[in-house]
Amino acid sequence: MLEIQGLGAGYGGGTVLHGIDLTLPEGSMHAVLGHNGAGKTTLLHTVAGLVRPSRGSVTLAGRRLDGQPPHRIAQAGVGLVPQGRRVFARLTVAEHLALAHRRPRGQAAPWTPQAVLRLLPRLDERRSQLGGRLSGGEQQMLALARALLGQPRLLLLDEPTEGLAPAVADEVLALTRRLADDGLTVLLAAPQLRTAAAVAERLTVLTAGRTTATQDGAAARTDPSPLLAALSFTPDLEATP
Amino acid sequence: MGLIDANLVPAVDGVAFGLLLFVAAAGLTLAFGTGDVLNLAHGTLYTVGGYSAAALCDGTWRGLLLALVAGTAAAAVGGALLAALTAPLRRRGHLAQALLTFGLALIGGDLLSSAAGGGDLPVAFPAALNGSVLLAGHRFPVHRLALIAVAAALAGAGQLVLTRTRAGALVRATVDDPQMVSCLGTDPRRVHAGVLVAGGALAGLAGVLGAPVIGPGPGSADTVLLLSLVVVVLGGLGSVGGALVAAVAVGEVQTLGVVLAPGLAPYLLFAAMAGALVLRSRTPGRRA
Repeated sequence: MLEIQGLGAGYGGGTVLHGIDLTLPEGSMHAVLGHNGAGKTTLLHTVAGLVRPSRGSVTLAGRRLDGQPPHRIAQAGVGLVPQGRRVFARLTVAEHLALAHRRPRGQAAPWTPQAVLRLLPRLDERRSQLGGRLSGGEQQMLALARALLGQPRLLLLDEPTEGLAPAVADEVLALTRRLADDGLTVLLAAPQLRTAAAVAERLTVLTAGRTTATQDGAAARTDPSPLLAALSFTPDLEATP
Repeated sequence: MGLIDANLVPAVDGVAFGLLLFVAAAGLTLAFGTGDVLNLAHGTLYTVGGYSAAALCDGTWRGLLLALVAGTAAAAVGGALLAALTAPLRRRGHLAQALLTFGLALIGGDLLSSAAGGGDLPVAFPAALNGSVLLAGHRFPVHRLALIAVAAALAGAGQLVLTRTRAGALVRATVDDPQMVSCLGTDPRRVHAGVLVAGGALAGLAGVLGAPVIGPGPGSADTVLLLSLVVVVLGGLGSVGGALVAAVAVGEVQTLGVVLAPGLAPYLLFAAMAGALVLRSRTPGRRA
């Protein structure tokens, strides 16, 4: 489904990613772990087209995406739920949904505003609220709804549980797991090993822009020591809720 | 009461002037908000409307209508041209864009004034608009009252488009976060080009409507650009609501201010702008 090969990228001459290889089968969830600055966001942004790759390739269902502008990549079926949510502060929930709703010709378009609101009923109660007035959890739901309405085949989730109460964070992760079970391919950037291991089929540790360890979810749930070694046993990584 | 009564005519004049400035400057603030392009050729788009009025207005309503259509259309084409020419410079920062649009303003202004003969041109509006009416014991120029009505209707319609339509929501979203708009599958550059065309059309329309206030001439593009920049800065870059308040304030300073404090009026505008800039540098700005 998603094939990332030798992907390199950076900002203004500085290289952040040094040749990343990842393969995500359809309907799977792959978590990328790593410290701040390891390149998780840059990886997701490069797949989404917000950062131009300096080398390597990104292929989604046989179609090359690298080098294309972000709106073309979105049209090809890539949805981004960015770090910090980035909902439009001065647009209402209903306006977000109307604006994000794409009905591409000749493609399946299962997501409608109604379908998204059934999945995320809390947004339904907030339809006339401005994005900037929502709670963190509601903004996260809105960012997810906005991405789904683009009818993605690949969902990029950048730290979706950041700053959320544990119960809401669990809800968001369980929801993404359900989406993956329904056939959506998910690339998740997460700072915490434990939460990511609970939902992902495969986990990869990124260190300074290189993949340094990778493990199946099932194995990581019983013995995550290879991943922990790559993360250098940073204690605060496990202590953060 | 006596003070208000004595200054009612210039105060109404100021509202007319302010609303005219708002129609002229709305496109400038939205173009900056959506595309991060400071369009220094914006005043020239206004004069495109002004010269259309000079060429086509012959004292009849038909001539005025023709000038409104032609001036709006020509300025919209000017906006499209600016969109096409500034597109390749998007990654080069403000200085390159400012230089390009400033150069285009100089060339466009020269072409217009040399084609029209250099000096300030008279514009023949229909006679009904040139008179005055007696209201509450004061004589008000009909043109100013008509200008208030038309400009207020335009401002209201613009606000409706911006707040009630999908296109308007797209513009507001692009002002807020163009990157996220692109991630929704819409090219923000197309939104920006649309805003430049619509903003150009509005500036051209203002140029025809406001010909009796700021008429076509070699200096009018600079006047309109300067006042529009004051409006945009005072109102907050990218904020339409702020621009409306700022435009009426500028209109009052330019009319009422001249009557009440003729010595201070020329400085008042820029003092207000400097004050707004100092204030804004301390508090995060609100947009659209």
